[in-house]
Amino acid sequence: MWHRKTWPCSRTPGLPVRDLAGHAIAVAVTALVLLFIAVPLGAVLLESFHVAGPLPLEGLKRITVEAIALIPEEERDEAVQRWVDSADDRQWMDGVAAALELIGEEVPWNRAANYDDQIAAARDAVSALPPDRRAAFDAELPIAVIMLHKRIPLAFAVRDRLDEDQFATLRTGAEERLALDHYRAFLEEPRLQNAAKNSLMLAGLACLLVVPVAFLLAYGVNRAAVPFATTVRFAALVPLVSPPVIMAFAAILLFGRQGVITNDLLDHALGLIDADTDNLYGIGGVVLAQLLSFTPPAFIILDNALARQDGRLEEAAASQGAGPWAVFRRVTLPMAAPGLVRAVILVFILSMTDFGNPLVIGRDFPVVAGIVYDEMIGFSNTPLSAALCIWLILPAIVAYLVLEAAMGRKRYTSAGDTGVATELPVPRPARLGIASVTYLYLGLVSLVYLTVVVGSVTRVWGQDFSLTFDHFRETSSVYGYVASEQGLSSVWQSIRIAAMAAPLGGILALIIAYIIERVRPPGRNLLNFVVLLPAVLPGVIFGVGYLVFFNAPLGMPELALTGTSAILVANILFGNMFVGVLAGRALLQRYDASIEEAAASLGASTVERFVRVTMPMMRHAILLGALYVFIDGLTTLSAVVFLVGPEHDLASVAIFDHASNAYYGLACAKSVAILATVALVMGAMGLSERIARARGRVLAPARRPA
Amino acid sequence: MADLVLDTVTKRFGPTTALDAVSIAVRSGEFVSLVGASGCGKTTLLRIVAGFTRADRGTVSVAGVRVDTLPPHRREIGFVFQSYALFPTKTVAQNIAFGLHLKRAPKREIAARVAELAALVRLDDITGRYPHQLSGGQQQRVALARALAPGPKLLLLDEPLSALDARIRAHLRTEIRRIVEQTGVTAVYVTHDQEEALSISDRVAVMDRGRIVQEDDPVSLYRKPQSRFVAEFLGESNILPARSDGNGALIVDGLGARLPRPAGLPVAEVYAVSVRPESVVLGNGGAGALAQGRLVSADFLGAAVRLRVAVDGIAELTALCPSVHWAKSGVGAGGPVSVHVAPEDMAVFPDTGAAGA
Repeated sequence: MWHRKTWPCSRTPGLPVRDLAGHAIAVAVTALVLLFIAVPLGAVLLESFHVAGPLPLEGLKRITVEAIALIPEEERDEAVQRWVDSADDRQWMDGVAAALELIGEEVPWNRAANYDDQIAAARDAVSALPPDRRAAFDAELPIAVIMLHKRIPLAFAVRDRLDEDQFATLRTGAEERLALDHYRAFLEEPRLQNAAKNSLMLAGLACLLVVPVAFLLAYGVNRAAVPFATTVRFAALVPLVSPPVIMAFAAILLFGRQGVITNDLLDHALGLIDADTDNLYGIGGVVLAQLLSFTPPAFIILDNALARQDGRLEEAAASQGAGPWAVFRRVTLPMAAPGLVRAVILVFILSMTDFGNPLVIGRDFPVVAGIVYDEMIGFSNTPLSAALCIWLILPAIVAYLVLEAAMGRKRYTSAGDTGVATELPVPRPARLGIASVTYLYLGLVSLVYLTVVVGSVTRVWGQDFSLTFDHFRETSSVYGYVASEQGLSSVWQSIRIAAMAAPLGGILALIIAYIIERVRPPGRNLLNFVVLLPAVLPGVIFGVGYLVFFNAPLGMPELALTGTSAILVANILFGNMFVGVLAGRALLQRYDASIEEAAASLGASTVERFVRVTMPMMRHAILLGALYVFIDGLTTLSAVVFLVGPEHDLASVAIFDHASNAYYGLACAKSVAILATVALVMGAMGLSERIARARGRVLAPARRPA
Repeated sequence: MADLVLDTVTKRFGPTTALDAVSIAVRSGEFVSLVGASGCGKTTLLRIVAGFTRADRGTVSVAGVRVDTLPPHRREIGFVFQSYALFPTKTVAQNIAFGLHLKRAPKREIAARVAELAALVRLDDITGRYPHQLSGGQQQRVALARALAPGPKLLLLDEPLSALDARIRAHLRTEIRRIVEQTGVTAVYVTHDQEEALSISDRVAVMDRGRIVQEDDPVSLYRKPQSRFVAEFLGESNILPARSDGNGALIVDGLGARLPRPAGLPVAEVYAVSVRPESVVLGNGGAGALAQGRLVSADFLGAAVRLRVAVDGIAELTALCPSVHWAKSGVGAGGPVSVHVAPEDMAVFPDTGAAGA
């Protein structure tokens, strides 16, 4: 029935007049994204300034007077008299001191002396008051006594005339205000200072180790300096899809007190060391775990940076007489500098905000992120945790801004055919060095996975190496374990949650990409910025934000999402949606917008264009976005650990709990289950892509006419 | 004395042969162009000379010394890239000075040399800028200055103008020729643009599928192509079949022209004759007409008019006539014309079929 539709009056998709539906959806999606990303993040910031403290005297007097006024007039004087009369000497003395302060007189005795002396001094002070001050004092005294010692009976007397907050304030005499106390705590408390020192040292060490290793890997892969470069690239990325803290507890199984290498090999078999003292607990273990965990993300950045380098620059330098080392130092390295800076910042943030590895393997090595975890989980001290979160990312942000400013003066773009690798060979000694580092690293990673697989079927690591499948079973009896987290129920729960979040995330990401690229509403920059925030902000903050905000959204506890699956789905979905958005935008930029203009000129509305034209073209981006949400939903720990409720345990959280309580068999079993799931899903996805391609369903987008 | 000598240089990439036993000698101070369609191996050849790519077989000598075993940074060969390949982190002056720094030349000397080269490429007022602040043409001038700065024995230019737009290309072409002449350096220039090659070079080598098919000075190359490929690749050409009359002469079919057999022409069954459109002169009868025909169409091109003539015996000829002459002739479409071609404007070669198949 195309002829009944009105013709589009413009060829440009997204013209406001025409595109009401598109703009309405854009507004709705932006609101959704703000609610689930920007608001929780803002809530962290706000929460960090929340200080609960006693009211000052003036405030106390104000709420007391207001409350007294609420007592029915005929009962009021009598009630006041009764409370004042019932005050004992000590309470009366406190009242005198407060009343003196309220009329602006100094308290003339030592408030820290014993009560009998203070009471006597108070009597003297009252009788010594000059007559003109006496009237004012007499007026304040009853209020002062009541507000200090009879506030609770007063509160209950007028309870039905107060709302909940007023009642609570009157009862406790404390108020919430905004102040920097939690930030100051960081600078004042020795416990936090020590942790801060540790965190900075750890992050520095992680950068010093991770970035060079990742750079060597990326350089080797891009300059064909290692054999089997394609396989190496794939292998280097595998740890990205592994469960949390797997590196830390695998390191314990290998190098810990009961570790096969430290205990069984070096101690018992060779007698070289004593595994009880020479082991990897502490900062060394954390650094190793972080090296293995953070090299893949740093590798992605550096691989990308090196792959885009124009090989002609190196050839130009060589033809100018620069030898391989001079080419590397004067051309390759300076060109890779922006990538290196980004890698350093990334690793620094990752290391600073990592609590899993330090808590599992760090032992007596407290870090700030670990304190955030303890304060949140152990003491529900959200304001302090929030302030610590801000402290955690502050150094990285400052460093980033400084480096950006420094690099900004040398902004450059490389013209011409970027990405053409040079054929200049890497000298043999360098090749050998790079290959050694690469294979040593990959060997260590393989060893970790092997250990986890073996650990999952080992009864008690280090003591009883007999084969068992009990760790996978619901009804197993692990010595002394009381929690109900055995078996794989939390894995199924994780899969259920991730499977809910994934398709929603994939499609929502595409809608957002489409809005930004095609509908182009006025607020698209804000939308884009907010969607990308979780990509740069650590998961801890995102988790704390959800906990703070969704406990009682907009002050309404009825809307609370905490402890439900919904909050987990939302957190996983919005925390990882950016990948699908970026992929979708990249693909849309490659497709000529005139395809949609053609659909529009044939009478398709915005929604019809999206469903019938864009979605089929964007199949790949949707799949990628959904896959990323799914995998991260299975493996991420940092955000969801704060959100799981009693009925909604997730495998990643369970693995972390097992590992921190030294139930390594259970941790290994769940890790193996997760790895198997991820491998299965990625395999299926790859297969379906291959089939689709074989049938010619996946089309390469036509080049946009120049 | 030959400055650059390539001897049977061969290079394969997997199953494809990029270079098939190429040999060429370039004299000292000579400007030689390698021209050919994309994929003919010309850039590979240049990269082998520079040392960026290794040949499978064959030798490369510069000034009598074999260099194919040396890494590129020991060859003292300047290279200008299509993509300019300027160091984006360095200023114009720092780019030019790069090679001199590596030679650990004294600071004063470097500054003087940079100033000299900046003046040579006429960029002396912007030596403090970064590459991204320059236009494409300026960037390529910097690249040229940088390549010349260390005083290379040989200058290689790989399609240096193809990323620029047409007007700048024509201008920079003459600039490159001037700069190379001024420095006296031996230069090898790779391009797919035959007009560029003809206008800039002392000698042009035409490459096809990994081989050099003909090399000569530009005028001879254009006027006397020795194969259908060269005739069709360089400019436009009417290719007419010809045969031997058995008495040491050649008969051009359709035109009825009889040519003395050129010395050194290989014996073949079939020959072909190439006639450039501008060598085809049309008239209305008169002495010396080779054939009679009818005007099919006339396309006005501005400076010239392209005329299509149907000639009895052969299908069609293309003629190019200066438009000032055409305006006076007054022949309309369908009108009778006579065809004149001077014998020296016909190039004869054995015909191995279209595009040398």
